[in-house]
Amino acid sequence: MNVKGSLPLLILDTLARGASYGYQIAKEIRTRSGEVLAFQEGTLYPMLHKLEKDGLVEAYTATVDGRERRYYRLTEAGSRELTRQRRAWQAYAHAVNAVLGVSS
Amino acid sequence: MSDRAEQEMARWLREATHGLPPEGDILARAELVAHYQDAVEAYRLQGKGPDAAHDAALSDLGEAKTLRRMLRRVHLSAGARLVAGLLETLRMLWRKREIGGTLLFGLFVLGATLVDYTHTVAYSRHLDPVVPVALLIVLIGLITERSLRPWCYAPFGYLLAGVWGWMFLAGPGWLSKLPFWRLAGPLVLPAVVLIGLAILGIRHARRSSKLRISASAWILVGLWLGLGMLEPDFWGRGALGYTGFRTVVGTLVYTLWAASVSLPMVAVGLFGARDGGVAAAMIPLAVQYAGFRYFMMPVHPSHAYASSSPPPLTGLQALLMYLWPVALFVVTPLWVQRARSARGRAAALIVPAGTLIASAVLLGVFGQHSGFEGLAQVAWVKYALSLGQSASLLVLAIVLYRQFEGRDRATVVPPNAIEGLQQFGGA
Repeated sequence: MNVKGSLPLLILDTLARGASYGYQIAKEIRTRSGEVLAFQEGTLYPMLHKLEKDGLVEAYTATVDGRERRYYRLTEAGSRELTRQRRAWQAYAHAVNAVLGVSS
Repeated sequence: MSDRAEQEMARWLREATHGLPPEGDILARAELVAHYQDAVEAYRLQGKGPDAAHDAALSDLGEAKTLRRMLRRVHLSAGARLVAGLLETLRMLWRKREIGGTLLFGLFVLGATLVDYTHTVAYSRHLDPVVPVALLIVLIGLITERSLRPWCYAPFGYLLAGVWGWMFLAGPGWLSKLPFWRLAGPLVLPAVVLIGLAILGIRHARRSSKLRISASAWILVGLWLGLGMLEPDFWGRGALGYTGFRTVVGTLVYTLWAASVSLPMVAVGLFGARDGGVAAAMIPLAVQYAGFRYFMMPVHPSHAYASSSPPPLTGLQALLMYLWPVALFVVTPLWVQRARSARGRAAALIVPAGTLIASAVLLGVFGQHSGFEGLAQVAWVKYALSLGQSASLLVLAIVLYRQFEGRDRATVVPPNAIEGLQQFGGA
């Protein structure tokens, strides 16, 4: 299933559980969705850079197991944006379910 | 990491980050390489072999083109993105210059035709503006590539179509007065051309079968020559008398000569096909176009036009003229580039030009096509012959393209392709 439009929400939600780096974020989204949500993992990075530019996440470099990684964590503004996007998503999902006759 | 994996990853990285500013480029490359290494490691732990792990990791990362577009949107301003896009287009045109060169030449021909549709330039003792540009393109090609590369084929075909006519039809006045040129010219030229082709053909036949020109291509060349000689004018009732017979013989020789002036271009297409594939097909197409232009405006493209002053084109004729360069040099190369199968490529070559040939005939039937000495008044047989002659060149183009698809430059990995990956230590 394509997650193109909802990828920022998924990234913000993943980062709400703790700081993480690109590969781990992709793995987390895949695992938590039961391998249903598929996306081109490379596209995570422009998305992360955009969120960073908008001040929703901040980045820092850390060396783990001898490897230098760029970690991302949620900012205050990011937390507020996540809440807003979650609400918008719930309203959207509710509306689609209502049309399809599926209970949410 | 195997050489193949290393090279593929380096190429993917280069494509994904191309055109980014240095800081964005370094950041994106570092993260993408780390992601790739993590993915390869994970797949190896699942029991995949090194190559399979590489394939899976690269596939997970996705299309480099999509990523490049997204990265540019974040790291470049709108203006910088526009410049990067233009540079990218130029780069693509240079990489696929067999197509790009033809395309740009076609756009120029289109512009020149549009500007001069009232013939104010073409019939005022000015040279066709396309000729110097075609010459410039061929010269640039010869200087930069040190050989006639396929991207010069269309302008080269256009030049050849004019030069031969100029040499023997509109040369200096004193030349045409010499008995040799009046009598021997029609005999010497076909003989030289045919002997030259025969020698080249024999030389090719000695090489490997892959390089050999197919029999169907040679048959089409024969058809091109032969159809011109089947004109009903030559074989009317008048041909039975002595004077008529003399006219027929004289005209046959002359027709053979006239058809043979086109043969060198076809020959260049045949022998160039080994290198250029579709680009070689552009030579017959360019000749086709030059021939059509001559047909519509009975003066040769390379002449300083002064021989006659035909009336300006009607709207429909002008439209038809504009459509020719568009179809042959713009639609055809773009379609060929996008075609995914041999059938698609054949369609790309035959449909645009075929439609125009048919439309020219239809316009002639309805009296809208002034043509060569008023084609509207001549018999349908002549239409059919002209159509057959034009079609033989088109089919020749297709035969050439199907036989020689040309070399795919994109598959050649430059030696510095792995630089990007080595910068981050490789996997």
